[in-house]
Amino acid sequence: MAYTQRIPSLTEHARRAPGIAALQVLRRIELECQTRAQAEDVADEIAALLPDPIKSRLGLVELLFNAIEHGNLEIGGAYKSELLREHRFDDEIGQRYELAPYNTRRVRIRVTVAYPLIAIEIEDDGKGFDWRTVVEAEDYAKDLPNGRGIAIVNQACFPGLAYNEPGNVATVRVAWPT
Amino acid sequence: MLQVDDQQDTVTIQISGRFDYRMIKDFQQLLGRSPQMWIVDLGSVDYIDSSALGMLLLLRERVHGEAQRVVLRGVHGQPRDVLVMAKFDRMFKVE
Repeated sequence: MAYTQRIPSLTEHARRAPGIAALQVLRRIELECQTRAQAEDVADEIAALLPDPIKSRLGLVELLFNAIEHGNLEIGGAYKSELLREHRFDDEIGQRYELAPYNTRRVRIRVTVAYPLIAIEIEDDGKGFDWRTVVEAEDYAKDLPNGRGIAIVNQACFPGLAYNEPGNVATVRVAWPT
Repeated sequence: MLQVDDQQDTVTIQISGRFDYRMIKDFQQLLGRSPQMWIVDLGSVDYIDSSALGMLLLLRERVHGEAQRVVLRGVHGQPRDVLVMAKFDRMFKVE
């Protein structure tokens, strides 16, 4: 008889056996998303495994949205500012989800657990960007309505945030206090 | 969730829960108004993201950068941390 075994979500597992217990049975998690709504689900799942879930959720959401909007959908920073000011940003995102070549692109999230260390890689299908300038930004985009996410992640959520070259894979490392 | 109270020269925007990218459309619809004072009540907000910062910046543009015309009220917890880190406490009147 065929049957499907239900795999409890990581969040559920973490809730029943908070933090460390869940991590001791996990080694590697791979998730994938296309849309911002899916990215939120991914962020919630992973953040539940980390020492500071609230900060971590924000950090993961910012990194995932960046990968989706700028990486996969190729909406540059200046164009995003323009779209936001013209109230067209959400519509543009929605259209690009359906449009080639963007529609087949995904963001892959790999979590490697070697308790107490957790490494998270976020890879998009875009061309990368000049990540050093953005990560180290201190003036927070001045008066622009966008361009703060990555600097916030590095400063407040995941210090030491780094990308590969050309900048389509973000890596963060988190350690549980022992 | 977002509620608006438009009285004479003051528009109060009361937000609850998460103030994030999902609110962009609703928030931007309010920007067509032109009161003397804007009050953004964040007393019931427990989470903001960088999109919320962007929305506040668009609101600031509406008042031509005059910090005294936008009050961020009831700021606490994670929203306070993020706002202070982004130096928004220098760009808005934070209560």
